[in-house]
Amino acid sequence: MSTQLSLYNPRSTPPEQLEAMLVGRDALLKELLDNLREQAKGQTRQHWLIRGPRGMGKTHLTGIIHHRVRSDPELSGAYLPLWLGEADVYEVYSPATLLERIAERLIEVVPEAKLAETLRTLEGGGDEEGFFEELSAHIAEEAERQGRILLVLMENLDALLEGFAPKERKAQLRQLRSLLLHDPHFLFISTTPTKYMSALTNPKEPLYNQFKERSLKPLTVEEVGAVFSKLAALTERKGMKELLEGPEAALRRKVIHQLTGGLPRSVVMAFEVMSDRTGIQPLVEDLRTLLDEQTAYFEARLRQLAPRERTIVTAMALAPKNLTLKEIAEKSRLPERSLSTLMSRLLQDGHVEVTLGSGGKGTVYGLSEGLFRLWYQYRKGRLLLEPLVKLLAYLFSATELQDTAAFLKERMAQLRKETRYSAEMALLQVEEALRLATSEEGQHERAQLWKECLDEVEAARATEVREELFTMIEQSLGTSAEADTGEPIDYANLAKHVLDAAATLPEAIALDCVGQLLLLTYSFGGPGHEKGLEFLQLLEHIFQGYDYPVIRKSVPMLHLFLGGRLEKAGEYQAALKYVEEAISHSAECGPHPYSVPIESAQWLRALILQKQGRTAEAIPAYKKFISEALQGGTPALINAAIQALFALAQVQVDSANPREAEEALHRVIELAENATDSSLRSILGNAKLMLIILEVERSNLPTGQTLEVLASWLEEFPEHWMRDDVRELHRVWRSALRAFDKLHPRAAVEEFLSDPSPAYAQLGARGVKQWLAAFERRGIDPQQAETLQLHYMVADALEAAALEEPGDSARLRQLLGQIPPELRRMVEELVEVERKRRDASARSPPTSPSRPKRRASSPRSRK
Amino acid sequence: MRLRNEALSTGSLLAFSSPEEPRRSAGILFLVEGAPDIAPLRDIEQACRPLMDGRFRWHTLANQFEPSTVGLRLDPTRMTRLEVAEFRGLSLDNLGTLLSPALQHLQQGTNCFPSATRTEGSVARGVDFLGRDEELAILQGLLEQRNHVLLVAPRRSGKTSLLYRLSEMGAGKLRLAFIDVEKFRSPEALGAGLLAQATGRRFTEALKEVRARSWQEVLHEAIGALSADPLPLVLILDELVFLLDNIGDVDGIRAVLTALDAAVTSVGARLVVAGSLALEHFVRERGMGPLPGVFGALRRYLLPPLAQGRLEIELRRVLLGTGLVADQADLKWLAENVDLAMPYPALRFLGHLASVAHERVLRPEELEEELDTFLETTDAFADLLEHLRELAQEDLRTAEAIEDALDRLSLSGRSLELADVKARFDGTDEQQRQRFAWLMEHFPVSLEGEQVRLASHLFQRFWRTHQGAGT
Repeated sequence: MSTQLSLYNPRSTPPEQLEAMLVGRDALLKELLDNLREQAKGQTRQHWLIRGPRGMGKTHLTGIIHHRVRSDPELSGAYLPLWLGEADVYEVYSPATLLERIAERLIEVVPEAKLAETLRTLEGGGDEEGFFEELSAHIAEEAERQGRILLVLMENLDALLEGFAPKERKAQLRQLRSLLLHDPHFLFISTTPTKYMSALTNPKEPLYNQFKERSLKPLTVEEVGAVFSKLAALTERKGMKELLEGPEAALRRKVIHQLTGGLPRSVVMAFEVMSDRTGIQPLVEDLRTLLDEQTAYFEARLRQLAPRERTIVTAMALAPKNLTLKEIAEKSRLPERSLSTLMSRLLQDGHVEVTLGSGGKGTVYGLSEGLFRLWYQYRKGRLLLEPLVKLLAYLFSATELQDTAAFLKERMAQLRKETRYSAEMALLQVEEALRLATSEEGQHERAQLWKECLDEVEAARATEVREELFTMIEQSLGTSAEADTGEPIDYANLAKHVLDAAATLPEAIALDCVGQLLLLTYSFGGPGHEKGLEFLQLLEHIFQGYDYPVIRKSVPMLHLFLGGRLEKAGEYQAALKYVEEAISHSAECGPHPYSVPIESAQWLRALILQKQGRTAEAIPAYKKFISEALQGGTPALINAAIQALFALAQVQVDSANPREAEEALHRVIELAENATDSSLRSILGNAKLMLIILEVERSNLPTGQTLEVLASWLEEFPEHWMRDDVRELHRVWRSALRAFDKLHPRAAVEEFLSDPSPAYAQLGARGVKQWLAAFERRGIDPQQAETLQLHYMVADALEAAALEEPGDSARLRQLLGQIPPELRRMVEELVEVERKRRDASARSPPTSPSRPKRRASSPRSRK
Repeated sequence: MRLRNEALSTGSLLAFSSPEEPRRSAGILFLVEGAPDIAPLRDIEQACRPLMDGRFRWHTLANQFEPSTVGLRLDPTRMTRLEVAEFRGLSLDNLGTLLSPALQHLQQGTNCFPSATRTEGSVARGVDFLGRDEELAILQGLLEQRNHVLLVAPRRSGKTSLLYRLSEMGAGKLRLAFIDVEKFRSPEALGAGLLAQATGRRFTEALKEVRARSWQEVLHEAIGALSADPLPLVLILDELVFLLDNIGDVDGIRAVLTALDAAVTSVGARLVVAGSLALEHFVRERGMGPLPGVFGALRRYLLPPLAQGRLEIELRRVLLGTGLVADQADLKWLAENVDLAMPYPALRFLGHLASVAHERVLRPEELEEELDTFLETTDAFADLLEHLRELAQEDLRTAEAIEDALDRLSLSGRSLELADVKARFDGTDEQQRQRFAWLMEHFPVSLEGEQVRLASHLFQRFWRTHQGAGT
């Protein structure tokens, strides 16, 4: 190593350096320290357990907590942090001996503590209750004297608990539980490398759920980069800047992340290797020291196992890969039938984990603790450090490794015999890496690793570019763009930029980007905005300058959108041409991400034909689209089919095909009955309403049953956009029906005469005539009858106006002549309105597919 | 949902100052972000008005980091920071209910609101103790009527916290002595521990006395000393079964129970027994037959799930204490999915959310994902399931019927008729009654009149998605 930094042993690392190397743990640290602040004011203690495999940074985090608590005025006033040594845990065999270690640490931190004297004179065995009680009382008294809570930081809680003698274990765990639960002078922050600890998760165990647990996660790719940057700054290594910021930096970060699994310790090792491959000798020494340091822990864990369990674990550790039960049986020479019970126990205690399969035949098992395999192989004299060998083999070329080996050999020759061992070890790793790098298997693995990483890096880049393009398109064409602000848009530049960028992206993402450009261009400024059409036409021109598959696949959509815009502009012929072009090339679109399906070109074609008055062609076009959309079966297509069915019903009504209209409406109801989507609910409401109206039109007047159906409609669709109209319609119909009510004819007439407009609006002139005719046989006031007669004449004239053929106005003139002169002028004006409405209705295209049409002289018209 | 932004600079500080003890001065700072906070802040001030006396005062802080600019000399660590946004949409009544206990705790210098992150595994005391007024009153009533009580509930239901609360209440009518007996491994240690607690002597001294005389004699004397107060003694023995299990042999257990019975009876004390392991089950497993004296006459009191009435407001208090800021959509989601009827799993989940919120803001759909993951991995309900497994080993058909009842309750999401639930159980009326009682004792099931329902949304969802027929 080029500088004297301790990168693997946080205990001997200065706190400032630990802080400088910290990456990816800020949130957890904040949570933990905030919690300590809160707990300082509380009466009880919530103890913590941090989980994470070896090398994940637990000791580093513990070191930071230790440092922060000591240096923060608030926390140091509330807590006295005591960081137990790693070896302390292995000396503990009871809660009392744990307290003894805590007391010793306290005295180290506060040498003048009175506890020092007490501890010297305290007698008793580590298992004795008296010793535990006395010690806990003395430590509590010392904590009171210090005016602080003892914050005990200790590692390997699993090893500590396993150190309790099996016979005494339960009783001792209860003693420990009592301390944790009832003694507020202690707050423990522990760590453990194991995922499983039945002592904490089994409800029959005393310590069940006693700790607040958090797990350390592996570093992300970005965090790996951050570790490299921080280490580069700390170690002042030259050349690392290029490595971290060069064009290949993202790919290199990804490869390192993949090779290290985001394990901080391995990331540091990778940094060492990458920053100076010729200097791997100190790294090998560091790794050997690290493995030596694990000996106490791993040996303690091995001791806990029964001989046969130990045989399984060691067989798995020596194997180069994870194993099936059959393979374990072969390697351990244990009978396969006895293995499942042993494996269950090993699984339960967290020594082993399933890496593939679900416990049945063929299930593959691995060791839970990755470092154990390395440690055990090292202890068995296998001097190859597999992670290091892989890093070297996959990060460097064969030539670079050859150079490194030559360099190490040359340097070794200059070393004295007694200092040569670690150099030999380093050379061994490099030579093995070279062998791996040049082997067929190694080359394949290396190529695969780099390719996978490259793909991922490119995918991430493509996603980033897509986000940028989407933002750019949204800013230029979205709701806040020119249409609203009046700022001019350089559309050609925008489109070219998007198409150029899309050309470099994977097809799916490129389609997405071009699709977004198309969609926002189409909807730019709303339906009536002329720029939308202008931009689409410009885009058609720009498309011609590009020729890559995504463009070819996007052309049908462009044509569809052009057709849509032209249709809105009333240029039906041109629209039809584009739409038919889109239909004929729709197969080239392939699977695409557009929210508007290309199949809707058929629908648009039907609509254009309808608007052109080519109803006979429009009807089969609608049917074709509906049939294909329903077959397509995607939610978007089914939604579109329902809308088209409703539009078809309207066309059928216009074509005087009420039966076919009803058929289409029933199909709408069938498809949309259970829909929750608000637009479909709206169409469902329209369809049901239209059916009611068609029924009334057939019989000319509503019945009591119609009113009931209408009331049900209002109940079913309380939020429908036509609810106010329907409520009014219900009122008028109810009023109209009273005319037939033998009990209240006068009241009905009075109601009509007080405000006749709604009756005209909702019943139409013909309906009003029929209604008025009903009174001829009824006993009503002569004065009322006279007024009604006037209305009869007005309704007659309006009906004639609605039905009048161009050029044939003789009958209308005659009817107008019968109206008293003082009213004639007003009625003539009304007739004129009715004529204009009639003419507009004949000229106008059908209304939007999603809204029911209102017709003159029908209950849906409004006067 | 997000973490509170304590870095906002502006706010209104409700400061408490005690002229007698200036070090007890403390404050609640209501931080404001913008105009939408004006009206809620006015409501907060109005709600606090009847709760304030001369020692409380409002200050407007333009910059919370410079309180001296308004002449305040307040230790920043004694300032509880809240966002006004956390109180939006609350009525004046609810604001009063939320803030009234907070102001009391402020005066005592303790945390103002209960926090999910403080009580995941520890005893809930002080502000962290939630609800249970009714249960405490019932327990007190039972004790005043000279009953000996066996407190029954699954693990992590809050028995120890309740007993602490009971012992701290100082009812004026009873002298309550809480004794954690799980740490003792022998009758001698129990005798010494009781003597040490009664007399204030060191444990080893007491142990010497036990060895010099006999543990029975010392135990008798210790309980006598504890009952020296004119008020009737209530001896709360937490985790008695752990102690008995530590002792191990049946004769030793019987001797301890007999000695305790004799001592308790001689001074007319009452007994409250509680613990992680069920006493009846323990006794049955060892074939011990009837227990001596008061232990044979223990009145069972089943600790129910937290009462529904105040759960919503308690949840708001916990959110305030945990520093989680929830908008209306979050609150609606929480009300539908998380309640404090079973406080432990709910607090653990809220603690987990707080942990995630330290990393990022949580969108409503992410809350759903987090809950799914939590329910998939939590062992918070492990004790409930363990009891069901044990039952299945003893009586498979009943266990299946219990599972069936839980399936129906969790899937229906509403109350079921008691008769319908009982009808799922085989046997005579008495057997059906017993099985239903088992269900009530081991699962968060509540009975209101003749209506049965799952009291906890969280458990309902856990059962529906991870245990029951819905899986």
